[in-house]
Amino acid sequence: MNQKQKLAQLEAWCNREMTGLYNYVVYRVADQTAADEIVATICERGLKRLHQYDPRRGSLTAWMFGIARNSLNDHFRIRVRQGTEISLEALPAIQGRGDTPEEQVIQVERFEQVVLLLDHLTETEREIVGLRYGGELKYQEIAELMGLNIDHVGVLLHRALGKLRDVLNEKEAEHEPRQV
Amino acid sequence: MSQDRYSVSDVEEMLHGGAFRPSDDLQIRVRSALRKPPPAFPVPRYAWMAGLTVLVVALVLTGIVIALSPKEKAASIVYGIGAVYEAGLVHPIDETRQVGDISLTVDWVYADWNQILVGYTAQGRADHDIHVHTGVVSARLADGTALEGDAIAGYGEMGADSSVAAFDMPEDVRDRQTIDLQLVLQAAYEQYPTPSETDPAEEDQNPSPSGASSVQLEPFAVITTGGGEATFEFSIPVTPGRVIEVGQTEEAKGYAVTLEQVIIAPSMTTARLCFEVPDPVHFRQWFSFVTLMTGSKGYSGAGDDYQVGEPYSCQRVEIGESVPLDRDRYVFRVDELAGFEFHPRDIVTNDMLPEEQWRVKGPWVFTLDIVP
Repeated sequence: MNQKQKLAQLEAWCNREMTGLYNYVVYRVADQTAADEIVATICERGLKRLHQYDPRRGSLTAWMFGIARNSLNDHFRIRVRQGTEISLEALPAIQGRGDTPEEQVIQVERFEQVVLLLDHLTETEREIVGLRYGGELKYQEIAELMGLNIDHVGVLLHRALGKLRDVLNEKEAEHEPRQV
Repeated sequence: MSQDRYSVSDVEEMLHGGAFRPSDDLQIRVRSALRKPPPAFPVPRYAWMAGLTVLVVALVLTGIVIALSPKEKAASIVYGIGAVYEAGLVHPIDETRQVGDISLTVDWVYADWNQILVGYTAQGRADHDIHVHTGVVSARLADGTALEGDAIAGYGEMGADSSVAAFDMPEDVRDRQTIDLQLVLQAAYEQYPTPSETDPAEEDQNPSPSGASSVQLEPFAVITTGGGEATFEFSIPVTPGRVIEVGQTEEAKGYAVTLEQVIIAPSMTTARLCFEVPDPVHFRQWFSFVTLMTGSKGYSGAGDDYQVGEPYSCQRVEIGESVPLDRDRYVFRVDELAGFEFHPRDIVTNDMLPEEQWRVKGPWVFTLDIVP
């Protein structure tokens, strides 16, 4: 595969997968301005390093998400997380998946409810949740990317979801009327 | 105590139910960056030092002198260019212009029936934190015809950057023995204020915030300084190739594909391929993946076409490897057609997820017998 063919492949990949890549980054940084900069940088870096991509060694998805992880680590090295709470104002627009506008609105509300709790996860848990639900990567792809056993990915993911479930239930209980 | 309302499955569904939407500005920014050619790439400084160490050790141990200059490395990156460079088909120019404290040199040129290639090098200050960046401002024939193309490969090391630019050969001047080219190049220093990039395996998953706030520069900004533009004019002999007018249509899987023309030249092969677009509304970027066979050897290539709503795609297919010119039979095989949609997934409904692509594997096979 020559450079032009790789470029065509990269362009096609970005066309198809940019939303997933973007969502992964937002899961990690929870800030639209930072996510926009990071995603633009990931694509620029992918372009600059295209000569290093060898399809025989792995998929373009794994390669681009590898660049994404590097870029995010660079981001966290030079910036301290501004507080721990995630705010809706800082997040990009959210689109609900549903067949009717009503369903989409409900999905957006439910999605907001859970993404606001991502700061309750450790960095590794948040990364795995971001790769799985933001990037829509398969378990195998996440395992290869993070250098983990596939079973380990499943365990970490389940643990992260369990943590989010617990926080959701705690918040739900706080809002329930107390019986005297 | 009340029963828990949410289960792990609920959380999973909640996360699946929504997605963040990239802004239009970001999409435009990414797409325009991708529409630019891949720039010359710097070698990460540690890799450069490690590479140098390995090379020195190899020289000491074997006594074999293997010294590729940046311009030779740049030329060797792309198969077809490497082939004409190694075959001695390129014409040395070695003309230098000074832009600020950067020396900009056109090293060599080459032209055949498919493309015009120019190898050039910028030499500036050697510094760990900056690298020399070059670009093509314009390329014109003597009659003013603007050429389409840009840098397609590059090799950089501290203080030096070599690139190869490729331009499509205009059909109406293909038969000339020489063409006159005016090329305007630019060079400047670029500095990336972000920390150096490292291997993913070495990354710390829990970055420490200590001292991080001392970095004042905006992240990911590129600082460009110095340099300028320089104009070069030269004549390039045209190396002939072979034009095969095909005009055949083949059908497979219910889709007809027409191969109109194949041009085989020493640095690359191109073809013009047309097919009816199965769904021009939902998939707007169309690719063809092809293989040109000479005997048992195959050379792969691809074409692409971006359009909105057009029912027919005619695209230039490029095979970057050097294909033998002297065969009396070639087999041109279209392996697959693929359409992609670049819109984010948020505009489609659940039943269309997760793939926004249309693919059909052929093959569509065209046998090209060359009559002497």
